[in-house]
Amino acid sequence: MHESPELQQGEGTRSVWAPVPQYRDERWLEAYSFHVSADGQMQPVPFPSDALVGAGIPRHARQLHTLAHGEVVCAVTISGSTQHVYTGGKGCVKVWDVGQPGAKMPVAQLDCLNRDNYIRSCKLLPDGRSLIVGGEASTLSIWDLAAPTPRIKAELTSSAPACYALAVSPDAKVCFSCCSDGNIVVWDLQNQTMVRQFQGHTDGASCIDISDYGTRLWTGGLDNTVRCWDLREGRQLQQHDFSSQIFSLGHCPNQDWLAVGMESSSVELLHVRKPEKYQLHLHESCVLSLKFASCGRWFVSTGKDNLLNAWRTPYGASIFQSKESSSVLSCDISGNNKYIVTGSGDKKATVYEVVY
Amino acid sequence: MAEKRRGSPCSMLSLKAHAFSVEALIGAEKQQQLQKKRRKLGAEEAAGALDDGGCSRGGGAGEKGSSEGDDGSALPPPAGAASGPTRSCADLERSCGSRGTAGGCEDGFLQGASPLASPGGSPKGSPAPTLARPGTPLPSPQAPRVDLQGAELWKRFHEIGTEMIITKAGRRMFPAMRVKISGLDPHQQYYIAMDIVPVDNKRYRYVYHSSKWMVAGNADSPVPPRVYIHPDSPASGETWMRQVISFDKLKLTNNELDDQGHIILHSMHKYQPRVHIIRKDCGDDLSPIKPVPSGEGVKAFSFPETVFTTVTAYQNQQITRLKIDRNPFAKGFRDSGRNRMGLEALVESYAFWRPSLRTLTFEDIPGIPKQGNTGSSTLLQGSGNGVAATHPHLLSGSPCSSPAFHLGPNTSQLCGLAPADYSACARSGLTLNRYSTSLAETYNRLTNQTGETFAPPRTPSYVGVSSSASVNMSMGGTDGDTFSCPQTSLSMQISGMSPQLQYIMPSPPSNAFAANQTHQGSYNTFRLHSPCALYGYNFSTSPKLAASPEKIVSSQGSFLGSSPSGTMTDRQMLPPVEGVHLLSSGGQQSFFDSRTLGSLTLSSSQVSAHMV
Repeated sequence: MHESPELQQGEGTRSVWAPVPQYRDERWLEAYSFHVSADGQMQPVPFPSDALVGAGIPRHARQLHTLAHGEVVCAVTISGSTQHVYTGGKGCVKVWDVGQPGAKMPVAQLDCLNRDNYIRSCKLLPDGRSLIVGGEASTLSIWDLAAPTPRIKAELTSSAPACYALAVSPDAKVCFSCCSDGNIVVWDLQNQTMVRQFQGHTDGASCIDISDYGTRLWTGGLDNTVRCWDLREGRQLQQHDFSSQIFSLGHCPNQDWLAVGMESSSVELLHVRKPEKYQLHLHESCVLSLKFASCGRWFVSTGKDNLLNAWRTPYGASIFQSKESSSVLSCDISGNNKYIVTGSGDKKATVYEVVY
Repeated sequence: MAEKRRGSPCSMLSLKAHAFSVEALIGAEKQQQLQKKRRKLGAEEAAGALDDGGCSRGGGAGEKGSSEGDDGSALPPPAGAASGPTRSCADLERSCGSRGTAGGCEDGFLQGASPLASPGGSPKGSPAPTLARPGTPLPSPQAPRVDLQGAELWKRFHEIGTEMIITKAGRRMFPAMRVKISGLDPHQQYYIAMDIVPVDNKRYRYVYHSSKWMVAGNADSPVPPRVYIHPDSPASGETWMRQVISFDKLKLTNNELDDQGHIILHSMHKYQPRVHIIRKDCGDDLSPIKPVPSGEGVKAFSFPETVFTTVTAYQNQQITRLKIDRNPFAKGFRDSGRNRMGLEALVESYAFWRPSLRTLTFEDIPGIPKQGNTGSSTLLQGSGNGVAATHPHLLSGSPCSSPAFHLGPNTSQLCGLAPADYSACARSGLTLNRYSTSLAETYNRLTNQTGETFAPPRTPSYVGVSSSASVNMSMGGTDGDTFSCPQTSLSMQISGMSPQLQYIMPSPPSNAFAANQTHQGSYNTFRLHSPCALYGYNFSTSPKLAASPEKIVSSQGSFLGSSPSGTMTDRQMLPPVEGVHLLSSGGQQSFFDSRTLGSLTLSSSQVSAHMV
């Protein structure tokens, strides 16, 4: 039978056939950043010239300290003064002085939970004098760090068996707890009472961030959804559905982008007002945590693939990568964007200095 | 009240939530499984000889095994982490069970994977950690060394059990073999060739209910020998080392009487691709229809993770999914599984940005024709144009005028996509009709029809240099190394630019980034690329399968990335016994020989021009 090249046997017929411009496909395979427009069209992104250069864009990071917590570090935060790092492991939070070089021993230990239960989140209040800790327990503990030795100031008890993530409002009046039952509990910190619960997630709520104005709450869940909640009206405003669980998210401090880290290894940057987004594919496994720099121009994500990725907002040009020795479960960036801290499955935390 | 009982409260959590437990997040279960596997394989490993150079493995063969070398959770992780490691172990067992003529290369897989684990060190000891897999056990600068590009993708396929479609007419591979070679004599002339050899003497079958490949008998009688000689052969060592060498044009066929020079294979057999470096003076015997010559001027390299089983239709759903997911030319299929509920999903997804949460109608979505249009015409001809406009970062211009795409009377078997050859099972004709128009749209979008001649560089310098005139690229340091991504297999070489593409290229800052690369030692991080960065090209590849309403795709990203749910491999859609057929295998290439672009038809002589 006649076999013209474009009509291969058994493969049907085609009429006009025009060449695809790029037959050699490495670039698709190499392209890790894609823009998805409102009508669903997806294209690899050509990065602009200022993608990786410019004020406030890091060039590298280098490891400064290793903090041997001794347990998997699921939660990590760095103080505003960049003097102290708090690492949450099994049962306790350890406090480290990173203001000076040299080998590190914890300067304090905050026993929050049973020794078998993991701390999943710890957040400093804006004034740096208190630390809120949540984890695999029904109780959040609030620690007074200004005391001679840190001590518990208060405990907030909910009905959920575990807290996966915490957020604190910019005015420090309220804190939000993502619960394993899907509820988002809003706590009044001064009165230590529950204000309300945002109900909607049909499985655990895994991550949370507050929009820059402090008026909206964004949460991600194990039910494959990202939801936006209005804090004043107390209701859900938006919902985005994904095909994979959401493990981490962060709202860009000063731009309308929400970064979402997924179990499928994608990082997506959703525009919060428009139906467009970027999809970034530099992780090979679940994206366990992410955090924006305070300037909003870059952010980091960490994965079960042991990678720490720094990306340019919003199109995700890769700024640098660091391969660690185990899953990186948590991360934080100091307020002055000079330090990155990561928590590792190798029972340690790493402090990086960001090099500009 | 705090949890007082011992043990984490995770047991009280849903199964999904268990995937979020700390143990799952650090992959603890997987590590244990891998350690068991490693011990088990240790004996086999010792027994199996490191092959003659036909077997490639990481130089760091004694290194600590990688815990993520078989990332069972890579794709697609089912609920809970538990089944991830199981799968990877099953793969290991399978791959280690079949030790054939490749001589123990399967065992090398684990070992070979270990370089991936070690932070900051490739087996070669180069400062830039790389996930490209090394291809020789002797990483000395004098010996040729072959690095597999896209090793991560291969690995992901391998973990599932790579399958490659073969057809009578010949089908390209996805992924395609792409390698980087080093250690050649720059001034010596070489041929580079590829052949595919059986891994064992068995025939296989896929058992659906256990999702496993099982031996089904002895192999069929040997096939005629075929060799694919890289079209750039012969060329100097310097030329070869300057580029990523891609065998994307290679086709696999089951036609033993094939006269197109394709590589002939039996279906349901296991094969190992091999790359050969042949010094020109030893190349007199080199022929596409004879076995690769042997001798001291001929070196063979193979990568255990590129072993595949030939099929005429994909057996394992996960392979289907991964092929669709990672093959950009299969994008059109990505959302097909959801398209049955496409409209609802779309509403949900876009509702947030609608001023009022009214039901979306098709008018809302630009370019989507009304329901009922069977769409064999250029429905979305204009849609491609609109893409770039929305975002400043995207390339503008370059209208994509879609060609008409007419399905022939043979709709039981859909047209092979030029870049991705899809075939469909005749038995599922009814189902396929639902996709037929979607494929039409996919084709429309996949092909960037400007009608301009696209002449990819004939010179092998693929890095940053294009023979296409209008590309303004000054990629300082076009040396491939500058752009090689140390930690992933992503090769940053950009080859073959289309004339209509425009690149925003800065002049590269002087040494900041070059310095990066050289200071790998002192920094623990590395850069993926210079600010020149990476460019996509602007053919629109909308997954929007718009002709019929059920094809409406909601947000693209919902379906990308491996997902255990909602892809077109839903068995309700297609007869399970045949698996899924609407898939590409050799998806990345234009159907046309690049040299003949500009003419819309090819004579068969042109098609085979590069073969010999």
